[in-house]
Amino acid sequence: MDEVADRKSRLGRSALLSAAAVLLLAGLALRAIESAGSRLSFSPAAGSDGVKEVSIRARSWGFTPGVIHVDPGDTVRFLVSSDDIKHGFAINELGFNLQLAPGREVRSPDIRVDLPPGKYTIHCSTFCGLGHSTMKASLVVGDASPATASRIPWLASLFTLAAAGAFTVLAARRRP
Amino acid sequence: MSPNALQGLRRHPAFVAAALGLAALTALAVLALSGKLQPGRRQAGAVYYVVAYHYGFAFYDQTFTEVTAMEAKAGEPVTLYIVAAHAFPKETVLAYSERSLHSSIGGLPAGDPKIREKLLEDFALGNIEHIVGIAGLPVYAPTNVTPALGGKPFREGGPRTLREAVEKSDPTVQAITFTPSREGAYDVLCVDSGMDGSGTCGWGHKWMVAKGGFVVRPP
Amino acid sequence: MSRDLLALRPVHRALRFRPFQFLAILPAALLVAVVVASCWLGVDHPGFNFGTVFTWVVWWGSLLLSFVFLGRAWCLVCPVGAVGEWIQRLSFWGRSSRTAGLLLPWPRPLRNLWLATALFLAFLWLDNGYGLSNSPRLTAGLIVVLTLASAWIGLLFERRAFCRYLCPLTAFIGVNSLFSILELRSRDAGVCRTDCPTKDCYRGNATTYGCPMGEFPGGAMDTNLLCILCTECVKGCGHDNIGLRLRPPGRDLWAMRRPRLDGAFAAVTVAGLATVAPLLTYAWLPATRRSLAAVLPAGTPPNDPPRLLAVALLFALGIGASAGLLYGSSLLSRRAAGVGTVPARTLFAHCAYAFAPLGLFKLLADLLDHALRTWGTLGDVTRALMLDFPRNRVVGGRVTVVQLAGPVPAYLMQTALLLAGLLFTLYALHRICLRLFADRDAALAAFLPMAGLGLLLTLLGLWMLGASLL
Repeated sequence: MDEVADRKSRLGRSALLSAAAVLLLAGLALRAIESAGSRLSFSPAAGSDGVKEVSIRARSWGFTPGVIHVDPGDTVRFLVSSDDIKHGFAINELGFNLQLAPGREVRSPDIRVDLPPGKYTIHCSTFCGLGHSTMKASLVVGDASPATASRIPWLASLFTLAAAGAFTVLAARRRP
Repeated sequence: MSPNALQGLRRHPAFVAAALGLAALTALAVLALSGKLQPGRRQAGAVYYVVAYHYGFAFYDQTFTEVTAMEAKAGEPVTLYIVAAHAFPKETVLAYSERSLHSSIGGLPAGDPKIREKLLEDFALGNIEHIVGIAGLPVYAPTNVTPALGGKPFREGGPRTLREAVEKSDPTVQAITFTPSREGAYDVLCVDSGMDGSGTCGWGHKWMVAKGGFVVRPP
Repeated sequence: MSRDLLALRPVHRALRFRPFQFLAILPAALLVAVVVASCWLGVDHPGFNFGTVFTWVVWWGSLLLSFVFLGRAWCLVCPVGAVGEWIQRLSFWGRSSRTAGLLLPWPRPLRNLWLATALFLAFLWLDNGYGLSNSPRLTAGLIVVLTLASAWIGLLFERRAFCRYLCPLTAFIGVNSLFSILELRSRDAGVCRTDCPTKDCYRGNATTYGCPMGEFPGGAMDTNLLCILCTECVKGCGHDNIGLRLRPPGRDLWAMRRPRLDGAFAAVTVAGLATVAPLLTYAWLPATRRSLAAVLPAGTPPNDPPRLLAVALLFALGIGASAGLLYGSSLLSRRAAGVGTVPARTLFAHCAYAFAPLGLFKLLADLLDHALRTWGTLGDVTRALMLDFPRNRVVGGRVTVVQLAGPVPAYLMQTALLLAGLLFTLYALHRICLRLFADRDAALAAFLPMAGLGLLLTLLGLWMLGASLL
């Protein structure tokens, strides 16, 4: 009886400790990701020629600023430079892709943003190493309420949690 | 080397041969990778000079006379000397740039003073390099004048003319030799650094095309 | 449950055919030659050069996929390792009696995966620091350097010492191949033990060579870690006792009798490089570089010492943190299971391998992202290569960027991949704990901290990939 209780309490302690460790480390990681600074937001004002000019710096692995706000119908020009190695700067929906080289500022043509309101991905199009897939920024057109898309990573996390939990329960239940 | 080792080697003639061969290959690779191995500069066949400016090209034949298009014979080698206009003094750069006012660029009509404004803006932004290419031929030459400017907006103390730059083997001049095989008219253009007209020389990049600038005639 | 492919006559005939491996290597060798020519002589721009696009997207992606289905099948066709072997054997496929090599034994202290793991990390540092995958010239240089190294090692040392101990990819490929559904093993261990005095699979004979990787299929070889599927043992076994079996994925992860620490560390490296290292670099590279710029002279990137050192430090920290996290989980597991059972070090060595699928599927998700977003590039560069074959000096024209899937569908696919990796890892951890602990409750208690670590790493991956959606 004692042994069983002992084992069960051991199991409970293990579960608690594991959950605490995961929560703590996950929290730290989230803070690190969010404070990476690339969520810096920028809303350019139109210059004297009616074109909104945006200066962006690319580095391994992120863009600064990370969010750019424009209105539908605006004409935008991007001035992009790379802080380290060769990167790309592309917005597929606007149909352009700049290749960057360190030390050089590249200027996009003047582009008319004829897109419906929403959040569009700016991504690095030149394979630049381990973090290449993280190297993204956002172009927010209009008053986009990006509610749906922004919930997805959390939903995915919850789903993963549930899957891991389900597995653990199933594994615990199975008797030889 | 100890006599035992020598004896050992003598028993392995194949090893010695292979080792020597591999050593030669390794030496070649080291030379090539450290940039010491340069392909021989065979200057044969037709010679042309290409000056890339904002936003167009000027072609000169081997007597430094300007021509509207370069011509070559199929099967014969051609050497192009390519340089960006910014390798020359300020007056020369501005003189080349005035040519852009003769064409319609960026949706603006020919002669519109805004073209000049955009030009000067590009200069101020440092968008002074071009990537000269000929569509369909092995010419891909990024210019490299920025170091020669030494941080100043225009070059001072450099060659005053194209002839001077070539004769003094100025580092801003690149030579490319190739042998065209197919007849036809090829466009000389400032190659994209990206898609659909985004490039290194700024606002007018997309319009920097000399249509039919390189013509290949039958042998 | 396993299905032996070698029971099929055509497969048996093909694998016992001496020229089999050479015929498999030939197309790969020609392709690598074209890649080197294109990289060295062609357009010096990674987006326009066939060599760089093919190597870092197509080859790398196919490599990752091949681990799942074929184990170390790349090593079977790899021309780099083959060059060393051909020089050593003075033959392309025949069993020759001559050799050009000195056949020295590999130094004892280096008979492990530590050197290979270090070289793998060095290669990644070069890639992230100098943009190796960004430069056609450097890519060509890398392939040439590796080929020359393989040639020299093949000339001096016995068997495929380069492939087993030196190739920067061997630890990476080996650890990931544990996951594959294909395995090459002896059919009946009893036959090897009692009926075979010559051990031709390991020692070779007049008509075949011994295993080039120095493995013993008749006995000690119980995982895919080092088997390059060269089929030399299949040809050499006088008892026809080697089978090429299909099996459920990942079985090797929990089947190792005495998992070694060097492979365990390599597995931790793979998982850490896919999750922790990118996170640290993403968050801290600019700040680290700034601090280092106060003491080191800055330069124009990529020749910028502060940045190079910062990348190296953060990678080291990432790997160290991953190993530390796993060791911490091992300590927690040991405590949870009850003191005096399995030492933490043993838990570490066993469980580390289980994290390989997690890393592998994260890397697959990363590459899927790139492929979906920049699909048109491969078509562009192939067209450009055809216009000037094989020197690839021509730019085909304007670059096309075609998106195969939008950000949300792409993210969902990535989530599916990460989840698959996590589930495989969890299952492996579960099986390992059951093997290590007689008591089911102790096994479960030990499993929980490890599972927690797996969950954490998966969440890290999900958040990094989804950061732009937020």
